[in-house]
Amino acid sequence: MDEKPRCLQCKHFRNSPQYLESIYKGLTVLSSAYASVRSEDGICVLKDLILAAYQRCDLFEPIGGHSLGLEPDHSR
Amino acid sequence: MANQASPAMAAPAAPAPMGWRELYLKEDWWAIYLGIGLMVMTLVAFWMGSNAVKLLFINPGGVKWTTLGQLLAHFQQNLNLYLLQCLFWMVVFGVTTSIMGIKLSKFIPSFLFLYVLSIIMFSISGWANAARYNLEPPLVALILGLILANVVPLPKWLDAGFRVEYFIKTGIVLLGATFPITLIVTAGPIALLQATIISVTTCLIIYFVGTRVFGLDKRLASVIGVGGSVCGVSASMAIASSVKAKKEDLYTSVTLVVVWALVMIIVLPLVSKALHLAAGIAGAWIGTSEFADAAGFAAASAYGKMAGNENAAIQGFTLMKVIGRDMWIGIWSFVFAMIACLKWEKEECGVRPNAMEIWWRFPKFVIGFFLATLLMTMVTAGYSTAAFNSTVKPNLIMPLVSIRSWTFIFCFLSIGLTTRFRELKSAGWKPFGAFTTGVAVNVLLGFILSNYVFGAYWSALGK
Repeated sequence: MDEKPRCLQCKHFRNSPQYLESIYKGLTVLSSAYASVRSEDGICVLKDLILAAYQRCDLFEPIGGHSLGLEPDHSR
Repeated sequence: MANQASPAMAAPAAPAPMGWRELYLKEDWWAIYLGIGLMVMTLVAFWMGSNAVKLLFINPGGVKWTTLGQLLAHFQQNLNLYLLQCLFWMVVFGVTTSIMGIKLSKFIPSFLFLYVLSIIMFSISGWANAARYNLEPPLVALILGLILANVVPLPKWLDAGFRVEYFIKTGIVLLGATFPITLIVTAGPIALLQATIISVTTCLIIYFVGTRVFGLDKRLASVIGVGGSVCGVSASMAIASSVKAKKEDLYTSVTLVVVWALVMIIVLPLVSKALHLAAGIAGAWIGTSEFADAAGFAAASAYGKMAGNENAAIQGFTLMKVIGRDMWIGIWSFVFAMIACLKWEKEECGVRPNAMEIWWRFPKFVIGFFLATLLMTMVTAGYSTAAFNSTVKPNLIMPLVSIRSWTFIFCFLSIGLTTRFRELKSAGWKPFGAFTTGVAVNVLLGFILSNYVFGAYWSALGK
C-alpha cells in the first residue's frame, strides 16, 4: 500500500480558509472557504494547482523543511 | 541559542486531516446548531406562552409608516429591544465565526455596520408605499450594498462580518421549520428530476462548447461547467480540486458566476413579473437558473413579494435548488475526480478519490433543513387546522419567519457589500462565451420545464 505523505502535510500546500478567501477576491460574494463542500482542498503554491488534501506527489516536502523559502500555512 | 534544536523541535507537527473537527470548523454545522437552536428557543417560548421571542426579533418591516415621525416613534418605543437584539446577533454570530477562525475584533464593527444597514432596509420595506415603487428588500439591499462597496472606499477588513453563506445557510435551516414535509415528499422527486435534467444538460453544454468550440482546457471547462449548472463557486471549488485545475481556473469561475448571478437577481424577477408567472413557477425557474443559494433566495424572495405570494416562490426555489441541486455536489465532485483519475491522467493519477469524499463535501446545512422540517411536523401534528391558524401560526410560525427574515437581510446586504467589481479578475472572452451559452440554454430550458412541463406542480405551491 502506498504510504507516501499527502498534500495536507506538504509545505507547499495552503488550505486555510483565511488564505483562500484572501487570494480569491470575490469568493465570499456567493460562496465561502468555510463551507463543507470545500472539504480540505487547498492550493499547491509550487505547481499552482487546486488540489484535494488527500493527493500526493513526488515533489512533497514536509512542513518545516527548507526550500523555496515558502512559509507553511495550515492554520484553520 | 535555539539553532541547535532537535529535528523534532525544528519541524512543526504535520497537520492531521480535519475529519470530524469539521463539526466546529465548518459553517454548515454552525448553521445547523444556530438554526435548530433558534427553533428550539422559539418552541420553548411558544409552550410557555411567552412572547419574548416575538419581541426579541422585532423589525420595522411591519410598521407601514407614512411619515418619518411614525417610524422614529417606533424606534423610540422599542429602542431597548433593538439594542438587545443587536447584541444577541452579534454574540451568536461573533462567537461562532470566531471559533471558525475569523477575528472577533474585525467581526464586531463589521457586523454593527451590517445591522444598522439591515434596520434601514427593514424600515424601507415598512414604508406604506414601498410595494408601489417595487422597493423589495432583497433588491434594495443588493443595490445599496453594491453602491457602498463600489463607490465608497470601505476598508477590506470590514468584510469579516459579511458572511453571505453563513447567513443564508442559517436562514435555510430556519426555513425548514416552516416548510411542509408533505411538500418535500410530493414535489421533491419532481424537483430532483427537473434539476437533474437541467444540471446535466447545462454542464455538458458548457463543457463541450468550451472544449470543442472555444478550445478551452477540459479542466477549466469542467470547473465553469459545474459553476453554471450545479451550485456556483462552491461547486467550482469542489470540482477544481477533483480535476486538479489550475489556480487561475477558479478566478475565472468566481468572475463568471458573480457577474451572471447578479444580473439574474435583477432580471429573473422582472421578467417573471412581465410574464405574470405564478410565484411557484417563478420560484422553480429561479431555482434551476440561479447559480448560488444566496443569489437565488434574493431573486425568489423579491419576486414572491412582487407577486404577493413570497411563500410559494421561496418553496419552489428551495425544492429546486436545495433539494434538487445542492445535495448532489459531493457526487458531482466524486464523478469528476474519477473521470480525471481514470481517463484524463491515467499515468499520473495521484490518489483515487474515496467514496467518503461524497460525505465530507455534502452541504451539511441541508441536514439541518430536513431536521427542522421533521421537528416542526412532529410538534404541530396534533393541532387542528383551526388551532394551527389561530395559535401556532401567530405564536410559533411568524416569529420563526421574523428570525429568518433577519438572516436573509444580513445575507442580501452582504452580497452587495462584498462585490467589488474592480477586484474581479478578467475571465477572458472564451470562458465567457462558453459559460454564457450554458446560461442561455439553462434559462430557456428552465423556463420550459418550470412553466410548461411541470407547471402544474409549481403553480399549485402556496395555495
